[in-house]
Amino acid sequence: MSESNKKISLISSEGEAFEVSEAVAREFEIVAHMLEDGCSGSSIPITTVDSNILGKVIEYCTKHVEVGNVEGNSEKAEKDLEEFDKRFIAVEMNTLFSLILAANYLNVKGLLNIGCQKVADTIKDMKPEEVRSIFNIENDYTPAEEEVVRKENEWAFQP
Amino acid sequence: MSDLPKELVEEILSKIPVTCMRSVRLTCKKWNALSKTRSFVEKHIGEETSRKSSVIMTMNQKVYLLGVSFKTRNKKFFICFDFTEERLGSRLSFPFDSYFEDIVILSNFGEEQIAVLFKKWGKFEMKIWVTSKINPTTVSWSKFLEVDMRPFITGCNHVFTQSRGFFIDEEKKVVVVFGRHEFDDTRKIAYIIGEDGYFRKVDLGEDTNIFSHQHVRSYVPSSVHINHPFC
Repeated sequence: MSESNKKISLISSEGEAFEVSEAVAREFEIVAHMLEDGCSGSSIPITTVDSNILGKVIEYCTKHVEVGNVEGNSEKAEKDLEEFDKRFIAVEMNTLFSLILAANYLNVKGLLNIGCQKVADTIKDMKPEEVRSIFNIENDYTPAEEEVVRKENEWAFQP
Repeated sequence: MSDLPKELVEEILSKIPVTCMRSVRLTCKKWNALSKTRSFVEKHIGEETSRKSSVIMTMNQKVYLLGVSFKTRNKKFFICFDFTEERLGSRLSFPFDSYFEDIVILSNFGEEQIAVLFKKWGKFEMKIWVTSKINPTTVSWSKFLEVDMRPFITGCNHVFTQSRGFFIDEEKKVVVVFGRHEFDDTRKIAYIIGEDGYFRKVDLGEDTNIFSHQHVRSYVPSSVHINHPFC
């Protein structure tokens, strides 16, 4: 049987099965390792990722496998992929965090990278209070301590 | 802290430009401390320097600069400045697609050609191409060497991170790459890598400044004879 036709089921935390080609499943490095270690079988449980997020990660990998298969990797294809990534990652923060966690667990480097970059781009111009609210962080500085850190970082100019 | 594990927070924060770190440090004590740890600083600086240029000069008065497109963040390219015409050439592309965490190092090859070393993040394959033709507007490449380093090292991401140079012996088909020890980043190692499983390590000694980069350039004999008064 040719490898590209082989189908693999990825099972979400809710027990929902997502059937994908082996090439797409291999984009999940964790799955690729399982397959290499011989513990194949046609269905692989992804217990820590829910259906909604797993579906999104599969969408991402499918697109990237498709474009990767195009010979020559034309500039247009690359531009399309960038556009796709941009749209794909334009989600609200909670989803973004879930995608990052899933990409990290499944070891999908490209997705992990654009996800983290997106968060970084979002918070880089924020005020500390805003960053705290996104990350659920409590301000543990006293006003005096805060002033010290502010002074220390005066060189790090900001708008 | 949010439910993201520490290494993911680190990953995110390391992508914030150094000049925008004040908010991060003011967020909470944990983040302030994190932003000063060795592993974070190394990563942060790595991210920043990977966006900076490396420069190669060839004998025909041309300079090649490695750059990263800021619009298409992932794509590395290089560009030639021709001193004879005082003009920048067009964007020249590499024979591979690289993300910014991948290792791409330029070096000289002979007098007028250049070489490039490429190692993908998370992969053990190291590939080296040399130009068969290069001018300010066009480039063509031929593969010089491809080595799977899996039999020789166990950690693939660390060894060449700080590396800024390598050189090639065309006749013997070996390259010498300057990097770090895979488990001890205070030790500088010269990796000598060739065909058919040729792999040697030479310990160059300790360098406790783990952020220092090792610049090395191929020796190109000068075309100008210098009459030294003491020779």
